[in-house]
Amino acid sequence: MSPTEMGNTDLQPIADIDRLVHEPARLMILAVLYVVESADFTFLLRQTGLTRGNLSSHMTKLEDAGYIEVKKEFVDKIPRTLLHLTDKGRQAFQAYRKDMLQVLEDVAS
Amino acid sequence: MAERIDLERIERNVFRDYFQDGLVDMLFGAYFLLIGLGLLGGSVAPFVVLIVFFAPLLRRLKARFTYPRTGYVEFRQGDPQALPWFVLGSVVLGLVALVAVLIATSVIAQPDHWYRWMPIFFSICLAGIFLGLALRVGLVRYYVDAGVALAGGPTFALLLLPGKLANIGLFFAAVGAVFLASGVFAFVRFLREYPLPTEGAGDVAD
Repeated sequence: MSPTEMGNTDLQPIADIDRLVHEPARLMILAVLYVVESADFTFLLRQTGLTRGNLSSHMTKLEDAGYIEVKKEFVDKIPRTLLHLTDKGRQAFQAYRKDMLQVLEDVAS
Repeated sequence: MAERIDLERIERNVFRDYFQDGLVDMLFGAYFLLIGLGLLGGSVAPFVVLIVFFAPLLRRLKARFTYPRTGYVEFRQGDPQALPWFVLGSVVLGLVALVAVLIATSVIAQPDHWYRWMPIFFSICLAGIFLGLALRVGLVRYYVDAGVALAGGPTFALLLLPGKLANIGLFFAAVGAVFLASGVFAFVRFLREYPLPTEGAGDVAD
């Protein structure tokens, strides 16, 4: 039953938070990609501290949602997986930050 | 999750990682050292053109040593950057300082002596660039480099040396040697702190 169905519309902003972004590992990935043009898998591994499997799994979820673009290429015969935040992903991240700030301000007041 | 996501700090950490390897310091240091030696030897033109090889050489060195260890990253273009303003500000400040010194020492009446005071102009420019870089990436060694550059200007300008270009030549050679040494030290430490990934632990598999 949603907060609206329960009659408590004040909780709706919390219910509306983008859960795809809200997950800590995915939030870290998006935060790093937000400040760069693109980065490879190894770079994100170091920046986020996630395990390979974990990072790979969250990458897939973000790619399926259209938030990131994943490009596999070879550089000097070495495979490289390059990740890039799409416009949709950038907007989703900005919206998430705005929503979270609002929610936290409301909770604090 | 209740804490703010500090994007500026995340960006600064990303930039800092890019400069951890010391390669930029090494290349700049070697370049200034060559310029200094060229000025002392009386011929700097062959070394000045070497700057065109800076970017390609840096890219190759990063591909060989850095990216396999820290991963590859491309920075965003077009965002407002603090560093160019620091560079511009440093150049203007350097010119103002140079003119002030020239007037104060009545050198304007003796144009041949202008060269002796050039280290002051370049020291302020370099100090500004490294200070801007230090504030941008938060690496302590760039604050030190800025201090060395700033101290070097008056030091080498006040030396009474024979030859028109001796002061500026010695300034560049000394500052270049310091930057090169700082870069080598950072590079060696980087190689130790960031070992290559183990065999088979390469990029994500399909």
